[in-house]
Amino acid sequence: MLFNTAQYWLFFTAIVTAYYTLPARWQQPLLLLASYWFYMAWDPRHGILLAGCSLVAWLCGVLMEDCDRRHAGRQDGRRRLIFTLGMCCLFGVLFSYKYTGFFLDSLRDGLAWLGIRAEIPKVSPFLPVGISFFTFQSASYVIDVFTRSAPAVRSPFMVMLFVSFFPQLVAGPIERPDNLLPQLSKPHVFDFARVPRGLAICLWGLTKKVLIADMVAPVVETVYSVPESFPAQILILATVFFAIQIYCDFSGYSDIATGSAHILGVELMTNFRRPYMARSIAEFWQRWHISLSTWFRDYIYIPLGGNRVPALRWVFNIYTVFILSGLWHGAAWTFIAWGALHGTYMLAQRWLGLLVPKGVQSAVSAVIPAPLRTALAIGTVFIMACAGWVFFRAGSMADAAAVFAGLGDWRSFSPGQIWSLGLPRFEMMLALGSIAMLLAVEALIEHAPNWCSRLWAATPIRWSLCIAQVYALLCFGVFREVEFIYFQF
Amino acid sequence: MNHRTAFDGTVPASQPWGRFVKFLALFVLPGLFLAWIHNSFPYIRPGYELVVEEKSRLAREGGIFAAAPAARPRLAVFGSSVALSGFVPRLFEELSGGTVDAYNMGLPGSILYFDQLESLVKSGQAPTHVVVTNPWGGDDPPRGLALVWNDAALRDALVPFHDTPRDLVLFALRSRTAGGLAALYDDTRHVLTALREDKGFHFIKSQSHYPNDALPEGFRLPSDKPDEVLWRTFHASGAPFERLRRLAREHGIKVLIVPRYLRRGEGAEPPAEDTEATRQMQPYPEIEVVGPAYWLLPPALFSDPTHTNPAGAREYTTRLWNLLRDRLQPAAVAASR
Repeated sequence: MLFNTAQYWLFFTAIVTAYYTLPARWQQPLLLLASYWFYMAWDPRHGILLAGCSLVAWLCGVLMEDCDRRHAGRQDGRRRLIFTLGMCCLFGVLFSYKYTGFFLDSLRDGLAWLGIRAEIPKVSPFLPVGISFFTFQSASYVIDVFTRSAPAVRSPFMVMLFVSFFPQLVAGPIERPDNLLPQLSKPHVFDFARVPRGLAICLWGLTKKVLIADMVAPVVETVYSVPESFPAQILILATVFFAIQIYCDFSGYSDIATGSAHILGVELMTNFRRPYMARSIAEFWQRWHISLSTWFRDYIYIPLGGNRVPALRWVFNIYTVFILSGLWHGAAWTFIAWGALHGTYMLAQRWLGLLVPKGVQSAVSAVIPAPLRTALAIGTVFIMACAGWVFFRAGSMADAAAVFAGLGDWRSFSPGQIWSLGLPRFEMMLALGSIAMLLAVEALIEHAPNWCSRLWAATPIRWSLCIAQVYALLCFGVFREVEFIYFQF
Repeated sequence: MNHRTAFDGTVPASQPWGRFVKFLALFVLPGLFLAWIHNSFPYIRPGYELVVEEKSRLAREGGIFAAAPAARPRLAVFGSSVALSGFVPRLFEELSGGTVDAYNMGLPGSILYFDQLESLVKSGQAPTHVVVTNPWGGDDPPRGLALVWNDAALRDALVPFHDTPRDLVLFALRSRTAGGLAALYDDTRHVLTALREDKGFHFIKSQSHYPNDALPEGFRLPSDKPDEVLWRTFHASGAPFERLRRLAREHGIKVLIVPRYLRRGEGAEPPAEDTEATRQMQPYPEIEVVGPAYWLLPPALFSDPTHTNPAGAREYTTRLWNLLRDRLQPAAVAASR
């Protein structure tokens, strides 16, 4: 059941109506049932996996708390064992579904490269929707209980609801127990003001998904299916389109999740803060998929020592986090390359800052006016991000190499090629116009937030914008069922 | 980490339902305006929509085979825009020496054309031969509650004017090179007159971007598969197929599956017989597969990567006549019925 379908909105309307009509004690069971219904609409068998992960997390929490009671809060071996077993279970599930095929293939290729022929079986990929999201959310619960950042929950149903809460179940944000559990635990009373606000957030998310991401998708698909056939101009256009597509697709999903949860009285964490307005790669990662980057920061980077370690160890920490982040997105060398590239960016940014003397930096700042400096920084980060997206989108390392090789061919371009990329002229113009509108809105919210808030508070403007968005969706939106890209992760 | 965005403007809590009703009232205004334009100015719509609508109307109300003497073979060629721009009924009739009545029932963008065949039968215009160029859909279009599972169909049903803004923009853009808005509006009206006069044939000029409406020699698309035979898959089950068989049985219609046309290089040269389609249709005597899966025509006979120009249409129609001539002799027709 996709957010961009009538089915979801009928389902959501029915759930909201029942949620606020039924007695408060039925709200949690209703949400739990609705969440499993939502998830099992893809494949009923996967509900068992979801319940299994949730129950493992719950059991670990309860057993660790029992250990605490017996040993007055000391970390004992048994508690550690429970934690380790729990994590092995959760990540074992993720590994077996997502990475087995990749590791066996890589092993076979590696052995073949060494001249050893081994009979290693081929495993067909079979990935339950959103598995990376709900295993990470379950893991965050187990880790937080282990580190005593969150109390264990006695009710298994509450943990099941925490892991499966339908607005954020299949593509995040990856929530933490301290934010989501207290909100799910308390009863909610209908507040009319939440409905238009929540719907406005959903509408913006739908606009990004249906009007922009799905609109440019055919161009990206056409070019990246045979990248060696296109000149540099087309490859650049497709890569920029993909940068916009993946942002609008994923942040659009997060917006709809946030808006839906808001109507149900639950505030989800912010997952995107205008990442293409970032002025450095570090800032990009503070704005892009925030729930995942903070997960890696809190549960891997900081426990490894963060940046308060010797330089070489810091390099190791950075690459570990970014390569794991790449692997989280997909079991392929392209994702590992994407992660490694971003890790390299982070190191380069830090060391360039250290290498260039402060005096030179101040002199450059004095010569280049601030707005131009900002624009240059934003442009540079965008180009760097796009270089990373080439790996992210390419079907293989060979395809990624073909894209980079194609950047040298500027001569074979003819303007007519633009119209044979799977998007008619009107839709191409519409896509470009929508992207310009998106960037203008993001720039305004970024640089003049108070002005935007005042504008939004004016009823005629708010209503006009909402009505215009709905008609834009109805008249220009892509009404095929296009899955969200992040579902595959 | 609460979600704070620019959307967090103040929404007065007083009289929320009254405000909601006001909002709804304002919301329908643009829709009413678009619906008025949609209904009042039909000829701003793109040609393909008008073609489908006009052919559906003619099938319902008469004007396709109504005047045809019952003894003559009546040939209705069904398919998508490829058939629309590829089959010239007047030429086919001329090649037959006036012994056959033909009509081009090509419906752009459609794989569901048995509604129109059913309309033809109901309005007393049943063809003797239905010629099919491309596979039909496996399912009927969704209706009633089933619309909930098909967003595009739901939008078509609830907001039939959803393409009006797009049509308006494209119409305004086209009018700059077509002598102005009024001239283009009249031209579009005349396209339908020409469509009726040409017995359903329509040359898709609007997608032609090359000189003389001909693709250059050596034209290629990245999606071309010059080494692969592009077989067709015909659904031998499902409501549309059952409807086709029922109509054929009840009204003595012979269904002929014929080759479509492709651009040279778009696919490999196919075998002389469409073995794949023949195998699929073997159990059904009312359906016959004739000729290869497709004919490859040179790029110069195409006005765009998919559709033939008038010269290409003449070539395709002539090939089709040569393929079907024996089956359309009166004796053969009488025997087959």
